[in-house]
Amino acid sequence: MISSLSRNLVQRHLKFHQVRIQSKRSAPLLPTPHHSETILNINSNSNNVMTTKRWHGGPHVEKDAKTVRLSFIQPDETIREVDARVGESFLQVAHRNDIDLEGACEGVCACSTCHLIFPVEVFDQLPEPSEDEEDMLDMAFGLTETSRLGCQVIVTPEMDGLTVEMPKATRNFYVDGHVPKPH
Amino acid sequence: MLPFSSSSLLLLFHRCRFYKNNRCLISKRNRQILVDGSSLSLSSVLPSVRIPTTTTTTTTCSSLRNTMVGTVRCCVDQPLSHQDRQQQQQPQQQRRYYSYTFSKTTTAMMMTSFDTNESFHDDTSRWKIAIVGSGPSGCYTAKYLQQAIQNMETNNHNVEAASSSSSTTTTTPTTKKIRQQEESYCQIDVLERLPTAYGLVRNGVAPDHPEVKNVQNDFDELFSSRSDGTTVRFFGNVQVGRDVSLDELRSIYDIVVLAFGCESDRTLNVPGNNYQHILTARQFVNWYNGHPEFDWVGPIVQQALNENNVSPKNIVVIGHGNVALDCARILAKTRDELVETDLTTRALEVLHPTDNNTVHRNISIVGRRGHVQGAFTIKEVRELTKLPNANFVVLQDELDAGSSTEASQQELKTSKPKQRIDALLRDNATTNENKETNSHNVHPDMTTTVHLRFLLNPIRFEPRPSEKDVLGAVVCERTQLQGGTGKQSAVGTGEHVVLPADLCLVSIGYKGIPIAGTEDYYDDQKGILKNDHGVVDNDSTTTGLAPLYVSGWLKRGPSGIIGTNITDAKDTVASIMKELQQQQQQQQQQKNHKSASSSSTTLMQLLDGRGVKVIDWESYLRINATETNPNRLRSPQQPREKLTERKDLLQAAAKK
Repeated sequence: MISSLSRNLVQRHLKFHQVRIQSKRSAPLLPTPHHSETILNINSNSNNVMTTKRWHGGPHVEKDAKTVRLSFIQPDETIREVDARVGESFLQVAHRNDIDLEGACEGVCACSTCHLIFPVEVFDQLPEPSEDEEDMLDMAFGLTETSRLGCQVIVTPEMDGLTVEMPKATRNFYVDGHVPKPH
Repeated sequence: MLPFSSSSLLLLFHRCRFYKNNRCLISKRNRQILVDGSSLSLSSVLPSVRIPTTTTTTTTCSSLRNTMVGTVRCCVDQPLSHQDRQQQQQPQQQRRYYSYTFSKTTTAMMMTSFDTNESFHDDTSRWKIAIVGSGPSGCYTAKYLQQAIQNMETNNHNVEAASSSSSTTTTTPTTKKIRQQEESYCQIDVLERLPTAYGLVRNGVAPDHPEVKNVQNDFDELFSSRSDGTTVRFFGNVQVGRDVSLDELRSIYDIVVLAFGCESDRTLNVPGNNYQHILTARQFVNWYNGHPEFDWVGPIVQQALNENNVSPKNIVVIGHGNVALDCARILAKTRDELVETDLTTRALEVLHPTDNNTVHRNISIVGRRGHVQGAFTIKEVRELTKLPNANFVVLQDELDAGSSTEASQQELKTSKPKQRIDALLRDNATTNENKETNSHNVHPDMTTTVHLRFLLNPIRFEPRPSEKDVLGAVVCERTQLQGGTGKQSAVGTGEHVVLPADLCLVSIGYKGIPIAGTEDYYDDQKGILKNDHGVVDNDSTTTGLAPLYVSGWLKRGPSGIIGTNITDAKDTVASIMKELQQQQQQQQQQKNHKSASSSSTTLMQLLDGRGVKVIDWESYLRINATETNPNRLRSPQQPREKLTERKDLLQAAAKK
């Protein structure tokens, strides 16, 4: 059952990427600062297929880069443990592992959808956020004292074993957090 | 219009439901349906109707009903439609094919007619969902619905697989085939009034924020990928309420989600608001972004900004939201700063005529409350402070007055974003209005200045001395803040400030308006549809129509950024999934694992029959290709040159 599920996932992946390659031709990308193309190697049961990952802002990291283990606490409280390549952004890690972290602006620090919550001791160690990132974080949903944007935080070897949290969008939060704009 | 009584067909439908486990006989030859001895005569109920599938069959009532939940296709030999009767040239005997669509839940019914039986094909989709509006809220709703339904179906398959794994270990060709058929378990159709997709991403987001529009790539994937049995289709150029009624949609689909946002404005009810050269920000923004219905705005802006060659031109923007700041920024930027954006050439030529390289404008952004209460976000404020070719002026006095109340202090204390805006504005503040040039960031050689003003309540518009119906000035009353934390209001002080104005953009908020069929749910005060977590109406017992949901601005009001729609859409999707799971349980109880939901081709046929030129995804891609064709672009960096007229859009969409 598990293997059929993972095969299913891989097939989904393949369809996803093949289509992406086609649509890329018809829709040229907007100029953004750090576009890089990541070549992804997907191992399926039967064959190895080279395919193209979507263009995300963030550094280009070789697929044989050193990896560390990272855990994401997803909004439904389940935990996903994944291999993260050192040098990637957290957004890239999430997308490469099919974690449902949005990256509406494709990782160029122009939205706040890849917002992640870090443990305070790690947060303090991270390089200071840029002014742009701070500005974006101000709009983030469920902002905390230790929030950062996933596209702006780069995986380092010291992060092995780190757990980050995706903001929860519980229904109660939605109701409580909703303040009609007064005019 | 119906060739035979719809109520008798409904009666038949309900009888079948009543006798659901009894045997029944469909006799094509005798045109009869026999249910346990008591016969429902097809000839009395459905004169001249043939059920096209087989000849005489024995079946159970529930499978008969199953045939009818969804679509009954039949042909009749008389053209009885009202139009045909009027036209008279039509031959009396003409075979026409009809398709009757029943909503899964009950009584609603939908009829379409077509002239051949080519379209008689089975649609195996289990769920049919329509989303009205292809803006961020519609697209995110489609995205999360697709995910949620895929998860639900994967779980179902796993449960089935687990329960049957003991008996069979190998997959037989038959089960494989069944799997394939079941692959298509969800069809999501996104309807869009315009020929182009993405709503405010295309028509709202400022041209100089291209990175915000990257989300389009995410949405592109939604429409272009076919993954695991859920497909998302694009129905552009289809206006609900004109081309298809909402009730028709609610008969064709299992679920209808309204996500068409806010198509109107809050009005500023002050004397003189009918003078020429007063526009709403929504009109102005739609125009510069190339919305095909806002062509008429161009000449007004042209006249206001470029007539008489008198400089400087005074522009007043009323409102303290990001839209107001966007408008001011677009007006303050020079041609060189805009030429590489996707600002339409139509708008660029008006905002910055080619023969005029310098801009000389005084742009005032006014609002009745203080900077702590402003709805703008820091990114947009910071952009104004950093404009390379325009001065930015904010007055220390107004900042102090706005933050001096205890309530404002409290609001600042509890909000880090507000504190950062406060600090940014104070860094850029000018101590005395008359000594603007003393401020460190005011350069005398810059001819354009953006003034961000606070505590000014527009109380009336005044005409020009020479022309009595053209705007000349905006008269504001100085206000002070009163009230508790988080709900301070602006109270007039009696002091008046007159701001000369050649153009005024009223940017005090968008407002949702209902379309036909949603009036009962509309909250006029808030300009939204009344809803509970996106549920507008899920009680189909009385209406027999598919449940109705809402997401986006029409659900929560016009505020927030694109990302806000993610939470919002997930909330609505959670409500929809509750309903779908309920429906699924009901189906399983009735042992109809595969319920034939209404045919998706029905909407297509319906629109075809009405002569609606539907822009599907392929057609949209042709528009996209035309707009991004390098020959059309002003510079290689310009992302696209939008087509701004409906006829051009339709032409580009047509197959070459």
